Amino acid sequence: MAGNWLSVVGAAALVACGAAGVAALVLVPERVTLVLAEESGDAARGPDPSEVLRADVAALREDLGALSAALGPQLQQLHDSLDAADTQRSDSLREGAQRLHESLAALDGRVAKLELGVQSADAEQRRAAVRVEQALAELREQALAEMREHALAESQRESEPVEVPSTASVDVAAAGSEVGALGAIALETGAVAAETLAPESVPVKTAPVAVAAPETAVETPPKRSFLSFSLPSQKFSFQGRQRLAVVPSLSRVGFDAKSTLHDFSGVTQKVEGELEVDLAAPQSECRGAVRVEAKTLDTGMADRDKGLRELLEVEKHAQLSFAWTSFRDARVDLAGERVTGVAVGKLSIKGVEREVAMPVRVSVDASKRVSIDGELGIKLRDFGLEPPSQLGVISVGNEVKVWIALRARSLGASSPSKSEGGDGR
Amino acid sequence: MVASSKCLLLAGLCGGCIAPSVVDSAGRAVELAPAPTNWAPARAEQLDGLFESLSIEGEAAASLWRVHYHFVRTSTEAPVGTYSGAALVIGGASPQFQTLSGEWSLSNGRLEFSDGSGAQVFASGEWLKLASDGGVVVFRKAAIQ
Repeated sequence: MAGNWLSVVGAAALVACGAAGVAALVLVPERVTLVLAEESGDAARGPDPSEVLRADVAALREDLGALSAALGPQLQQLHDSLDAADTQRSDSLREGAQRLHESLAALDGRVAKLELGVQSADAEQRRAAVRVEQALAELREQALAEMREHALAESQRESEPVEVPSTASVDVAAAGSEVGALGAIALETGAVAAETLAPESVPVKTAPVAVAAPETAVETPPKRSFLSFSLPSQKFSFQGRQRLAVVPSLSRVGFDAKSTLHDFSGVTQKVEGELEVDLAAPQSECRGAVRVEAKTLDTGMADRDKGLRELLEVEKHAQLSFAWTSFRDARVDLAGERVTGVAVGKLSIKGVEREVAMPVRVSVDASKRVSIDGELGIKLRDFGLEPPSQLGVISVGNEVKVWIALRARSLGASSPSKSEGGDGR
Repeated sequence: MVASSKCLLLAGLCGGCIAPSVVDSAGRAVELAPAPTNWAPARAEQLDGLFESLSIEGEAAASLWRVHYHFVRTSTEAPVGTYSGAALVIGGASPQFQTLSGEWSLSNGRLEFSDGSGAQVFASGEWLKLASDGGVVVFRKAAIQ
C-alpha cells in the first residue's frame, strides 16, 4: 500500500517539474543563443601571442637600457659620494679614538703623578720625622754634655753631688720642639719624642741646671735631600770659619830644580793636611798643616830618587811639612769665591825649620772643593842641604822651587775638635 | 881623573840632548779623567749594575763625598727595577754613611725613586749622570769583585 502511495507521489512530482520548466520557457522574454562553430583563416585568429610577448620584452629591454644609461652616472656619483662619506666617517672615528686614547694616557699620567705625589708626601713626612728625631737626639746629647760639664765644674767647686732634676729631659725635649723650621710635623714628632725622652735618667750627679734651648737649634734650617740622601742643613759657604781637609788623591806637592844635566821636578801625591780658615777673611786667623811623605818624591829617575832620599835622610825625617800659621796680603773676591795672598808658616825639611812666605791662590771649584795653589823659592843650604853634585860636574842648583797644588774638602764649621782627613772626591 | 873626565864628557854629551822633565806650572793639579760629552737620555737597560761616583758638582758636592748605586731591572718589558744606594755624607759632627733602597722607574729620561725623589738620568757608554736640584753626579759602572 505504502509502495503504491509513494509511486503516485513521485509521478506527481515529475509532472510538476515538467510543468514548471514549460512555464519558465514561456515566461522568459529574451533567450540566449549559444552557437558553437570552428573558425577558419589566420586573420580570424589575430596576432601571435608569443610575438607580442617578444615585442613587449624587447620594448622593455630598450626602456631598461635607456633608464640604465640615464641613471648610471648618477648612481656612480652616489656610490662615490657614499664611499667618500664612509672614508671620512672612518677617519673621523679613528681620530676620535686616538684623541680618546691620548686623553686616557694623560689621565693615567696624572693619576700616576698624583700617586707619586702622595708617596712623596708620605716619604717627606717620614724624613721630616727622622730629621726631628735626629735634631732631638743632637740636642739631647748637647744638653747632656753641657750638664756633664756643669756637673764636673760644680763638683770641683762643691763636694755635694745633687741629682739632676727630671725637668732637664723635658727641657731638652721642649728645646727639640722649638725646631720651628721643620714645621708642624716636627712639633708633633717632637712631642712624641719628648715622651720617649722624659723617662730616661741621666747617669751623672750634678747641680740643678736649667737646660735652655740652644739658640742654634731654633736657627737650624731643615736638612736637604739629594737623590734620596739626607744632607746636612748647612751648605758650603765661602764665608765663615771652617775646617778643610786635603784630598790626597787630588793633591800634589813637588819641587822644580835645575841641574847641569837638565832641569827636573820631584812630585808626590802622598800628601795630607788640614786647614782652619775663614776664606772670606783669611788674615783674621788661619792655621793648618800640610805633610808630605818624603820618600815618595819621584823625579823620574831611580838613581836620582835614591840620591834624593839619602839627601833628605827619609828614614830619619819621614815627613816634609809646612805649618801654616797666618795669611797676609789677602785679596778676597767674594763673588768669584777666590782669594790671593801670602801663606806664612814654617817649612820643615830634614828636621830644619824655616819661616817662609808662600804666595798662594785659593778658589772653589764646581765640586765645592777648595783649590790651594802656590809656589815658593827656597835655598837648599838654608835647610842644611848641600846641593847634590857628581864629582862637581853634574850638580843641582842651590835654588829650588817648591810648589803645592792641593784640593781640599770642607768638613764644616770650624770647631775645637780635631780635623779629619779623607780621600773623598 | 878618568872618572871625572867621563862625567865631564857625559855632561857635555847629555846636557844638550836630555829634555827637561819639569812639571808645567799649569799641569801641577791632579785632573780627573774627563767625562764623556755625548750624553743621551738613559734607557732602562743601561740602568743595570753597580755605579760609583767619580765627580759630584753643585751644592750637594759640599756634603757628599762618594755615592754608589746598584740598580737591578726587574722587568724586561717595563722600565722598572730596584735599587740600593750608599753615600758618605759629611758636614755633620762626623762623616756618616747613608744607605737606602727601593724601586725605580724610568720615564722620559727621568729616574723616579719610590720615595718620591728623582733625577734626570743620562748615559754614555758605561757612564751615567744623575742631575737633580742641588747637584750633578757622574758615575762610572763598576765591577762587583
